[in-house]
Amino acid sequence: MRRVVVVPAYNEERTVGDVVRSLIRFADRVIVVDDGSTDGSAALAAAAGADVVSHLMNRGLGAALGTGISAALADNADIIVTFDADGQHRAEDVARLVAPLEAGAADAAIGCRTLERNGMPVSRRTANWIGNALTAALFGTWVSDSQSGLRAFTRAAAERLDLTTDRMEVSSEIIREVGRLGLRLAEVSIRPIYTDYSLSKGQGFVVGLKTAGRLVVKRVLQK
Amino acid sequence: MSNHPIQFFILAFVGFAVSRVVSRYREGKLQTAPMIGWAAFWLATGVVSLLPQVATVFARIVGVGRGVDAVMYVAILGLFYGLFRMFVRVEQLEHQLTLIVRAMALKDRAGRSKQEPTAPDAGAPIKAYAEQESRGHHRVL
Ligand SMILES: Nc1nc2c(ncn2[C@@H]2O[C@H](COP(=O)(O)OP(=O)(O)OP(=O)(O)O)[C@@H](O)[C@H]2O)c(=O)[nH]1
Repeated sequence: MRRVVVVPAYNEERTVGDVVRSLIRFADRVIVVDDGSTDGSAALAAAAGADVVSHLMNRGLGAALGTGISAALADNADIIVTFDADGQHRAEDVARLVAPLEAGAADAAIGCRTLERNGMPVSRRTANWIGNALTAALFGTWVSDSQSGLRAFTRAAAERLDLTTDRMEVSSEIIREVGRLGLRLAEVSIRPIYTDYSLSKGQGFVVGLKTAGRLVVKRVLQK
Repeated sequence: MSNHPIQFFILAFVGFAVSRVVSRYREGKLQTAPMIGWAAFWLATGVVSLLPQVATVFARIVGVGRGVDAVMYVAILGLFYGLFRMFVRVEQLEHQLTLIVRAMALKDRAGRSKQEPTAPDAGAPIKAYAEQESRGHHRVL
């Protein structure tokens, strides 16, 4: 099965090269979506062996994932994995994540950082719990790590995803789609790598509030 | 009942606004429901400016006390509603911008790797959006 990994990257020159190099062994192709980065992310990703798709300007995580998934589908992917560029995921986890999909036991998988209680700072864990609770309250599906950037989809599932949010809301929107489409979801426990860098890149309180606000509006307008 | 110049100005403006609403409806640029809504809004404005007591009666009914207060509350609610619509509209525009940026990115990629037989139809998301739009799918409120 053709496995394509999509890496959304916005100004991640410090990590994106290593991330791509670590992934090559676990994927038939690595597509980096350079989301209007103003640093060397695109060139470094290409040098590391990725297929780089560049947004002319920064459009946000959801926009980058949408572009990456389209590109992967055009690339005849059978399995599509999303993987953060900030170095917080381990490439080995890709193999464990896609296993249930390749075995035909699930349509989508999410790498959950919370299943094992190690490594995650309390502030992160709290923020994550709020994200999970809000997602469940709005869209009716509880996932133990709704905001995780490590996910996998079968081709059929990816083709049916209807993602319309451009920013961080996309994580919750994907969970909504899992529920709406009745996808069989595998929650795979992963161990995140929290470095000072990946922690410093995290979204702040204000972004979190805005994301929550947009999700609520989205839900209200939903028919 | 005393007549103030302000009433004259408001009435003149209401007359102008109503005529605009009607002519836009005739041109087919305004649908029936919004036309009725706007006409009702302007006529109500005219009535309240001519007979301020009406606002007081309305205020009594809803229980706010003074007529002017009631008018203010309604105005503030209207402003919030307008703000909300604006927010939704901006979000839609941003998403349309994303679709353009995406189409360009995918087109660029397809152009780079000509050996790939299945180049993506880069314009597809935009076409799909236009189609939804024409079916009124994205028309909120
Ligand atoms: N912040 C941000 N990240 C983007 C954007 N576009 C793509 N990304 C990528 O999205 C991924 C996740 O972004 P982060 O800001 O690290 O998110 P996080 O707070 O760590 O979120 P978690 O995945 O829940 O840990 C990274 O690979 C980014 O490079 C954007 O416009 N802003």
